[in-house]
Formats: sequence, structure tokens, C-alpha cells
Amino acid sequence: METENTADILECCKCHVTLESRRTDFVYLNYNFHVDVPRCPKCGQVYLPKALVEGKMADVEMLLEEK
Amino acid sequence: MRRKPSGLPKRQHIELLADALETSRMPSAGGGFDGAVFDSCAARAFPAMRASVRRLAQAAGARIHELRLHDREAQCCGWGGHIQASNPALFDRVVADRVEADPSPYLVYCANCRDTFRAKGKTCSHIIGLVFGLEETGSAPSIREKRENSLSLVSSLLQAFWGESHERPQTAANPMNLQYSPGLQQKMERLLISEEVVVQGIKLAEESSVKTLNRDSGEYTCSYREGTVTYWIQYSQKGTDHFNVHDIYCHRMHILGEAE
Amino acid sequence: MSMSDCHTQSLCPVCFRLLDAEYEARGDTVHLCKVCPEHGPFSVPVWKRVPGTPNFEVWRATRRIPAPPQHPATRVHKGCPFDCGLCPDHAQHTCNGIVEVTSRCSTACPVCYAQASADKGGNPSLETIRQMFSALASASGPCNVQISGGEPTEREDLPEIIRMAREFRFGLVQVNTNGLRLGVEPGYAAHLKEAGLDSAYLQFDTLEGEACRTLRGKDCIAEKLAAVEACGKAGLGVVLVCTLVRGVNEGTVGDLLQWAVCQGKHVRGLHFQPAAAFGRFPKGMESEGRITLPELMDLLERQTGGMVRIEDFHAPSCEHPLCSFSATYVRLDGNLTAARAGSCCSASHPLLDNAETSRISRNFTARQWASPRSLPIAQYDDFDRFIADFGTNFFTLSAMAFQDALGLDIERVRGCCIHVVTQAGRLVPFCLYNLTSRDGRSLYRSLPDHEQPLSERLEQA
Repeated sequence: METENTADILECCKCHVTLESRRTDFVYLNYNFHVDVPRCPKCGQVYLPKALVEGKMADVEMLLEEK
Repeated sequence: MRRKPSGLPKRQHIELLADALETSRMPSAGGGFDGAVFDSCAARAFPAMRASVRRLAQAAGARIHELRLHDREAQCCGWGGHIQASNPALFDRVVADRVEADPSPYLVYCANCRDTFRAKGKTCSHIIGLVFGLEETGSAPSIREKRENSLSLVSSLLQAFWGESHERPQTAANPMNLQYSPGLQQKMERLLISEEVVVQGIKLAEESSVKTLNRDSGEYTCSYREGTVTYWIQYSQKGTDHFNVHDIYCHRMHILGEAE
Repeated sequence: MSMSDCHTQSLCPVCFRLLDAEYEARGDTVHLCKVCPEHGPFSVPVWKRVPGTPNFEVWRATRRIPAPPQHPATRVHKGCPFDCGLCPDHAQHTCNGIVEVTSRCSTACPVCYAQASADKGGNPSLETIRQMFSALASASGPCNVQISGGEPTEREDLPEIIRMAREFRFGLVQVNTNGLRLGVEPGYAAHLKEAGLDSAYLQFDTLEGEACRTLRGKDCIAEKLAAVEACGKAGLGVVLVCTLVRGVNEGTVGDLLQWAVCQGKHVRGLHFQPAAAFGRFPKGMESEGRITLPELMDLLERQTGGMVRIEDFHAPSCEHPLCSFSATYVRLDGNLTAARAGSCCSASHPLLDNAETSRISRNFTARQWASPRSLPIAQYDDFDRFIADFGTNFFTLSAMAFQDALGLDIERVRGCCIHVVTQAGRLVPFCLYNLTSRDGRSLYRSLPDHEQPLSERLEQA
């Protein structure tokens, strides 16, 4: 996953600090996941890349929403 | 609207229209229509409404027949559940199934059915258009246009029939100057993302500085949550209150332990 | 207490005369009641509502768009249930076609709906069986097929039968078995898998020796455990099937479930079948011996300390609501969690299209009851793992209430999606095929398979 590289070029505009790849927890329809995504090491602000959201995340959501 | 005017009978507008047209014998212009009635799924519970549509259509000179699943067994056109946004492939299959159920044009009485079918190239007429001989061409209204139209209608009705003025909420009055990248507004329409989300999201991000900067591209990314959906807006600043919106993507999954 | 829409039709359990019948609530139990002009009144408990379990009327309320057979084999003559084949009035497509390849079974259990035994007649030839598969495929398209009997594994040519089944486009090929040969003979499970078998519908009533002896004539639990293991190694899906008899094994349903959940991923579900009065059956089926669906729901919740809950269970959308309940769970570390949503839309009085629900049910069964296959994607994170494994760790918990001559409801029968294929290639709903009268006379099963529909034979008699 490209988050390792992505985080380097991202800066939190509140804390003026470079983002780091950190474990982040997600929950949807009673299922829990954790994935490493860029986050501000100070305030915890999350950055989700488009490829993740429109890719795997969308696939997981659709599978969970399946009845 | 803050309160409903009292004294109106509890009936659906289509029934009232059917009654009104029958009594006043207004000329109707539906003679050219020959097709199937596509019932609104919401009308499964309203037999009088369903019957009124058929009465109106026939009085207007249209030739109508029934689909295999009609009236109480009417199927959803595909709009329901906003699956268009959450599962586009399923949405396409559902709409195709409905559209292919009968080769003839459809007569609908729900604007969502109309827009859903038109977008897939199915010939269909709305009962109001049929009865009043309205030209119904062109693409479906955008999310903003639909909202604008509804609010305009509310204002007109309140003024004309109740003598009330209507305070229009500031909707997409667009205090910001937003320039969307090519194709983005179509993407937003497809995913049912209103411009309001972009405006609020950027406004909040700019006020709080809760946004991230991509040092390479100079692009900002912020998130904005409304209800179950979290939107990610990628934009850059052109000037004061002037932004280029590059992209927007969204998800229903909930992030735990975000920053405030 | 009066109920809306409680009228239906049934049969006299003595003479099979068609009777008007009614669901009647007496206290917490709904009974099916009818009166034969010749043999008097009959009534059996159908739904005993334990506190916390669903209300009979609510559970039963679905409107269905019937799905008549595309190729009915018989015409309507005397009317349901005498014209099976299927006749044009049948209201649901085939999800599971049952092909009985033998009436023989050396275990000859005390409880057996098919009344199988070691000395039961000749086996149908391979050619006959091929014709049965062909008739099923023509009538029902890509349904699931269950090779049944008697005990199919007692036929040496079972692998050949399985290969033959695979030539047709059935969704799932499953064998209904006591598991003894699978457990005892090394390599047998692999042999069946190689022939094209997907799944074993494995008789598994209990983990207690005494109960096993009562139901099956001997303690064969070790062999059955070995069968579960052998199927896992061979890549066969296993559905455990428990016949429930009051006073014998209803006190251990929780234990059985908790054990099942700890077995490998290949154990796809546990299916309960409260005993009914057809074939060979235990005493007490006229009243106190019956276990109704809500009672079982309650037993499961209580005996698992709430690992499964009554509210998880939902009515079927394929067969008639009174026929079963089920829940699908995710199995994780010996626990069942995250029960998945059941049927959708308008929670009260949903409208279901039988053609669609049978298709969905058939596809779900075909995926769920075969052994799971992981998608070969690179698995970096939780999302990847979820996508790869999705569906592999589902566990279905279900129960089916069979209809005997006492509880037969014509409306339920018309909606049946489990059809037995006769040697003449006709399809008969499962409960009707196995129906026996009070003195053991069959409605369909033992009758010689003439070309005439049953109703014409009745007229001539």
C-alpha cells in the first residue's frame, strides 16, 4: 500500500507537521477493521487516499451492504 | 414549510387533479401515448392514487396497458435506497431489468422514476406532462435544480394560495466561487453529492485549518461528514473565497477516533 | 383469540380426504385444526409461542407473487395435493431437487422419514438415475441437487452418479448421508470430491452416545466425527443435520451448536429438523412430542447463553414462512457474531416475488454449503483479508418444520421449493412425497410409478 510514501508529502495544516502512516480503526455495520493510513502525529487528523476509498473500502462496503 | 394549511382533505394530489380535471373537462393532450403504466413503489399503499393515474391517462386520450408486476406488486425503479451511489453496478442492473420488462414507453407519476428511466434512454412520460401536453425533453434536472424548483414551488404556492411570503433558506447561493474540474460535477450528480457539501466542507476546513496539504501538488484535502457519509474534498485556493475543486470521493464506513 | 386469514386446507390423517382447516390460537399455542366427516376432529400444535419469540401472525405475514413451474409435468385435475408432478398451480420454483438413488440403508434408524432399511427393494439403474437428473434439469434449470436415499454411500457406483449429476448444470451437488462410510473408509471422501461432489448433508443429531443409540440404533458418534474431519481434508462442505426429538436431544442443541462453530471452516452450518409423523417416527407426534419453531428458537438462545438470539432468526423468503427459520452469522474464534440482515424491504407485510426469492436462495445455498474457497488476492490489510475471505466464514443456523398428515397446510405445500424427483421424472414437494397416513400408507412415496397422475388413480380406486 502506497500510504508509506504518501504520508511523507502530506502536511497537517493545523499543526504544520508531516503526516505519518498510522493504524486507524474503522467500523461499519458491526464489522471492525484497522488499516494504516496517513495521520497527523500531533492532532490525529486522518487523510484517506482516493485509491483506498474508491477501491478496497468501497468493495468492503458493498460486500457488507449485501443482504 | 413550517405548517400545513388546515382544511384540506387527506388525499393525494393526483387524485385531486383527476377529480378536478374530470369536473372541469379540461382539454387534455395525451392522445399520442401508447404504453405501459409504471407504478411508483410508494403508491403500492395507495390504490385510489393508482386508479386516478389510469383514469387521468385514459381521459387524456392515452392508450395504456399493465406491466406484469403492477399496482400492489409494483417494483422499485432503482432509485430506492440511493443504491445509485453505493452500488452503481447493481443500480444499472435493476434499472435495466425494469426498462426491459416491456418494450413500450412508460407512463410514470413519480419524478424519480422519470429521471431514472430517462437517464437510461427509456422513453417515458410523466402523467402531468401527458395531461397538460408539456414538452418533456432534455436531461434530468441536477440536484441543485431539483432543490431550487421545489423551493420555488413552495414559495409560489404559499404566496398564491395562503398569502404568505416564504423565507428561502440560503441554499446553493454560492458565496464561494468554486471552479470544478472537468467531469467532476457529473461525478457528483451520479454519486448524489450536492454542491452544498463542497461549500460546507471547504468553509469548515478553511475556518479551522483542519485540512492536509500535499506539498508536491499544492492541493488541500479536507473531510466533511454529513449523516452516514464522509466526503473527502480535494481543492486548491485561487484567491479569497475562490477555489478550484479537483475531486471528491466519499464512504459510509465510520472512522473511529478522528481528530476534533 | 381470533386471527385474521387463518383458513387453509389440509388432509385427514386417516383417509387423506381434503379438509378445510383453520389455525386457532389457544393460549400461547397456535393449533392447526380440522374435522373429517368420517374420522372426526384433529388438531396439532404448530406454533408454541414462548415469551420473547415471534408472534405467529407477524411471522406468517408475507405476500407472495407465485412462481408457477415453467414446465409443469401434470395438469390440475383433483387439485392440490393430488396432482403433483409439478402441476401448474404450484407456486414456487425448485431450489433443491432430491434424487433418491436407493431405498436401502443398513442402519435402519428408529427415526427415518424415508422408512429405509437393509432389505428395501432394488436400486434404480444408472440409466434411470440419469433420466431423473435430466427431468430435474429440464423442469427446474440450474437448481441444487441432493443425492439421497436410503443411504447413497452404500451404492458402490455413487462416484459415477455424482459424475453424472455434474454433467447437468446444477448449482450444488450434495449427498445426504449418515456419514459412516465417509468416517470409516480412508480416501472415500476424497474420492467423492474428485467425482465432483460439493457438499455433505450430514446426519448429526447429538454428541451424546445414549441419544445417538436412541435415534440411530447405535452409538456411532466417533464415526461421524471422523466423517466431519474427512470431509474437511477432502475439501467438501458439510452441513450438519440434527433430527430433534423431545426427551432425547432437545436439551443439547446449544452444546451441538457451540461444538459445530468450533469445527473447521468447511462446516458451513447446522440445520435442525424437529421430528414429524411420517415414515418411522417417535411417539407423541400427535401433541406433546412436537417441537415447534419458536420453542427451538428459545432453546438455542438459552442454551448458548445468548450467543445466538431469537431476534437473529428470520422467516424464509423462498419457502413458506411457517416452514423454517434461519440466521447467517460470521464465525470468529469459536463464536458466532454479526448476524446478517434477513430479507429486505417493508418489514411489515413484505411483498416477495417467488421467482426472485427462489433464485436468490438457490444461489446462496450453492455458495454457502460448498467448501469455502478464498480468493487469491494479495492480502496486506484488514480490507484485503475481508474481501478475500468474504463468505468463507459464514455459518448458517436454521431449522425446518416438516409437515406430516396432522399438520399439513396446502398453502405451505404450494410454496415448497424442495422437490423430490420420482423415477418417472415427476417432481413432488418433499413433505407430500413422504406423507404417510396414520396406518402408514403413503400419499406418493410407495405407490408404483405409473404415468397417470395420482388423482386419476384415486378416482379409479
